Amino acid sequence: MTTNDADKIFAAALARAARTGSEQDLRDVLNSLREELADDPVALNQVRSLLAQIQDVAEVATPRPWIDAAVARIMELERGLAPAPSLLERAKDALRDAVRIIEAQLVGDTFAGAAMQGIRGSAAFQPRQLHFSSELGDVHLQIDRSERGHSVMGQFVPLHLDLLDAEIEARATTERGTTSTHLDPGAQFHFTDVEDGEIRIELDMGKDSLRLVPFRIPSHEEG
Amino acid sequence: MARCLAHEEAAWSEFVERYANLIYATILRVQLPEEDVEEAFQSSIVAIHQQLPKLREPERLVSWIVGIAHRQAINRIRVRTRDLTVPDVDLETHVADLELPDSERSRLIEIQQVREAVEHLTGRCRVLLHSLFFEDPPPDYETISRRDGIPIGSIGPTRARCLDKLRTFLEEGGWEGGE
Repeated sequence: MTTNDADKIFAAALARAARTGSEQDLRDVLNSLREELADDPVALNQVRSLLAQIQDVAEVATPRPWIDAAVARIMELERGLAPAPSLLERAKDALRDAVRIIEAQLVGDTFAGAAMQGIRGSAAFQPRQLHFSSELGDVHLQIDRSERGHSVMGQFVPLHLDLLDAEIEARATTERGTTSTHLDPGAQFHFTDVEDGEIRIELDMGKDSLRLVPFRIPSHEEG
Repeated sequence: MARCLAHEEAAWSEFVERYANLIYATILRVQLPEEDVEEAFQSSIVAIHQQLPKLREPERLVSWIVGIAHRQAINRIRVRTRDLTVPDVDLETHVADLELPDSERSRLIEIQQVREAVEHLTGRCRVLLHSLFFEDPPPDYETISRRDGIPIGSIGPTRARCLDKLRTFLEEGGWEGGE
């Protein structure tokens, strides 16, 4: 921008000031600018330039509907890039619906009862029995010692008749890994050679999965 | 920018509001037919949205936006001219003549700096500068005084002080006064 251009725009800005106020106001503007900037031609030039640029800023106003349309377009593109929250929520719901996980609570444990009464030594010769309960039915477990660890025998007693015909897979997970077996027609299952430590048992019924709360099988020395 | 790249819709909305006038001003420099200006504006917004993740120097954002808006405006000319079969017109020479000179680019960047600086002002200065320079038609001093609570006699001197404050703020940010 040449000095002449700046002067013209400066004059226009002051003319605009003149339109908005009285002559006295305009003199005030000029006087204050002169007083503050007379000794500083660089600063005066900068104010001229600034006024010109403010005018440019003021004169360029994008039509509001264009801005609204642009924002709407961006939102549309954004929704294409990031999955909409509602879609995510629906996916989570679908997953939850697909497999319902039900936890069976431990309601009885002969080992715990014997330990509380201080008769663990004599109880050690008895098979340990555990009883789990859930909205789908109960699970009874009997744990015996064997030469190579423990034997875990279980029976599922369903509360709903349709589960009597269901194909159910039992899975036992210990530190060593996961083993599985299908329930026999009497809804019984059996795991052999189970090592000491924590065990997690789950009965997979397809749409539902029944998880027994994890429990611990003590070592021979502990028992 | 980080919020835009994280797909925050509110951040994109703020982005468009903040840079809309810069994009618009850049496109107007090309002197397109009126109906093409909006096309160029909307395609600039889409191009910015697509290309922002590739921007390597965030500190050059304003200059980058000017470049994109200018290219989109030129593209409108290409689209229009492609449909015309005038053998003597060398389109590429014509388009090359429309390249944005560095001085124009610098001016657009400085105007954006001023635009953002005015928005950055607070209190009486922001209110007064908006009243004096951004309202159309401009309100008279009596209206400003009544509405903004500034005595009529103070409007002139306050304007000078506010301009000086704006100038100082811009200088601190590297503004060179359009020299």
